[in-house]
Amino acid sequence: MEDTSNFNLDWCWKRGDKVLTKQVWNIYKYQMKQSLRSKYTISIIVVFIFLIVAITVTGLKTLNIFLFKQTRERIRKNINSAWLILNQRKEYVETILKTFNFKISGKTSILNIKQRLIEIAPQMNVDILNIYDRRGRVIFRVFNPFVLNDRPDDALVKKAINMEIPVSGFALFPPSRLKKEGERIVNKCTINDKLIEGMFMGTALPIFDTTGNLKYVIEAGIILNKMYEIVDKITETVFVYKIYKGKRVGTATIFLKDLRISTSVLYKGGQRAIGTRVSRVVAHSVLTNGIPWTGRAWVVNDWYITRYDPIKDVNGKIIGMLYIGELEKPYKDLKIQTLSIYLVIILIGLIAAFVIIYSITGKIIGQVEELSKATKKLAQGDLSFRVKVRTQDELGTLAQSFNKMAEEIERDRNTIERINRNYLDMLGFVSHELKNPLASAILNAYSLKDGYLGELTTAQKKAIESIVRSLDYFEDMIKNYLDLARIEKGELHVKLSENVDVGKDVIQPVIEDLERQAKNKNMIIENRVKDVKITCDPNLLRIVYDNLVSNAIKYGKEGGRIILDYEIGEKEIKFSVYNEGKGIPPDRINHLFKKFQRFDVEESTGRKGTGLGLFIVKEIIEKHNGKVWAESKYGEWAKFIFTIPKDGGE
Amino acid sequence: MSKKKILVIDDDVQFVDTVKNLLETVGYEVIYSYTSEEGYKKATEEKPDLILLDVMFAGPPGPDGFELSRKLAGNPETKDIPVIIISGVRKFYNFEFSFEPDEYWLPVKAFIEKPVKPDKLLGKIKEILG
Repeated sequence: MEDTSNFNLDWCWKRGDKVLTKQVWNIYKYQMKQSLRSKYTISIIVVFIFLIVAITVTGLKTLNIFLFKQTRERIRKNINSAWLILNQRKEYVETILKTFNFKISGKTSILNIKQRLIEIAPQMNVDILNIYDRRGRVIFRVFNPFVLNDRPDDALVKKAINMEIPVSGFALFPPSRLKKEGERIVNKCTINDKLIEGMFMGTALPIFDTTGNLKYVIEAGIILNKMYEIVDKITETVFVYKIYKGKRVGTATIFLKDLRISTSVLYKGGQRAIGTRVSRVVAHSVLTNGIPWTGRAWVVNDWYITRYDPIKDVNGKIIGMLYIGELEKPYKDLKIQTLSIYLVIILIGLIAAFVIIYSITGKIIGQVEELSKATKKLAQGDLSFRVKVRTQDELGTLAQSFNKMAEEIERDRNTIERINRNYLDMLGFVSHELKNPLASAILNAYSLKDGYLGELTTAQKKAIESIVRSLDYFEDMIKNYLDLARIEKGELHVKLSENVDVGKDVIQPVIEDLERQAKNKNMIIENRVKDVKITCDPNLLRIVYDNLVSNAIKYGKEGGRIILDYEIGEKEIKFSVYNEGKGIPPDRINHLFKKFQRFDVEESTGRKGTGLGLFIVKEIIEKHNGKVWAESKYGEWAKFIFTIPKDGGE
Repeated sequence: MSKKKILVIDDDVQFVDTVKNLLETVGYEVIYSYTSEEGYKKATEEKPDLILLDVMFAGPPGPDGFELSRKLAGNPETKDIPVIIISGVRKFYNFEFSFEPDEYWLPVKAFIEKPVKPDKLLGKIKEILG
């Protein structure tokens, strides 16, 4: 497909340029009509694209489901790991306490226990380490020894006293209680300059005397507010501090109710994003309904794939949440990456498909195109053209059949041409052979008629005149048939000469030959063509004048004038032969130049012409790239006009 | 005044007869030849006043009319004898020459196409012989 299609169609239409649009549309239409190949290719590609779109949509859905499942699975594993780390910390405290196997006996008094706790406190790494009596009253605070005797509302301690077993878990401490625990704790629980509740994670361990009576409760644990060690450990363990495009991939947070009190989510400046709240949707699901929340969520400053689990105190009351989240971006980018790889594959496939389809249809359409071209050539007469057989299918068979047909036609035509050529050769040969005896006959007959061989009687004269007329006609015929044979054989080659003086070199010899004939009818031939030089074939042009002037004499009236004239135009010269006489009937004037067109009976001889003269004239003039026609006023005059281009038609 | 002698060279016996008959009747002496070789011999031996020469020699081998005319022009003995070529060959060969022959193209005085009428033939002869 030769390409004029680089027009931007949209642009043209948008411009509203009607003419241009029409042109473009025509080109477009032409091409559509022209190329079956692109039609087929486009329709197959359309089907292909439809399929690809369908596959892509399905593929994307599958990919989404797969990624979603995978993410869910991972988030579930990750929250379990988070819980594990959190509980480990709790159990660590519980284990140390239990290891010491505190018991009140003769040897071990409360003083000893106090002493012991002070000793191990640094190793335990806790925020609160208190001793309560069996009614829940604080009798000793390791980290704030001067405040005691208060009776805080402590869920863990109460449960340990009531059930006389060690109790581990979470609890909320009100601000009033926190103040009693000392300045360090108050600082920990002051967020945004406001003292809030404290989330406690720890163990309450009952101490019995030797008889098994509950004597005291030791409580040890951590205030999770601003306690970053655990969330950092979760982040480190679960996500190995992966950084994606300058951001931590994994984050962990502990919420007190809906408030972030400890988190590895950072603000842009690098500070921890504590003091901020969770979205209402999450709060409603987790805090109100107690259902863990999994999904996409906006956390502080980016989208994360998140999981929120409720944190319950020892009585089962929801007091906060444990959160982990993974940055969504890597997933999204992975999706985009997968998608782009997929699209690249599809694109390559599409191009490959296009190439394959194009080449296949190319073969088929190429064969069809070639056949149509061949048919055209055949119709134009080029019988030597053969179709290349490109395919082995039905089209190939058709091409073969076509070639066979063309061969047959060519052979037939060659035969016909040979026969015709033989005929024309013979026509020429016979005509030429007739010339010799004719030359003797004419010379003899005219010598007799003109009295060179002695006086004749009137009867003899009448007879010889009749013979002469027959011989003249005979001569005309031979001249014309010789010319015709040459024309039909295609041997009429124009041999151009420059500066041919038409009046002197062409017309004068013709007039000399025909002068006697004209005199016989008392006609005067007036040659006005003087000093006209053109590029032409003088021999052929002489045949033209010979025919036209002969006709003028034959069909002109007795004593009438014959005028040979010319007129110089812009690009061509117009020559004319005029005679007075009957002229040409209007209904015949357009048929004069056809082969074997005889329209009138010669007055002097009562014979028809050969019907070839004007046909030969027309052929010769057309070979000179000129035109020939006749004008006439019927009953008065006739005029034959022909043109020759000034440059000889080159 | 003696009769002018005209040599006719043509392989067409009937045409030679006709021309001879006509020319003798109007008062010329006519010699003739049917081949170019013999014609050349007669031209050198008999020194005619004029030669009528046909171009085409279908018969015995020998130079054609054009060649013979050049040969005659090249021979000092015959170069002054005027030659008229009379032939039906022009259209058949489509020969290239200007219509009125000049010395440059062919060393002949005139070219007459067959068939020719006595008026024209005699006119040309008279014109050349004076």
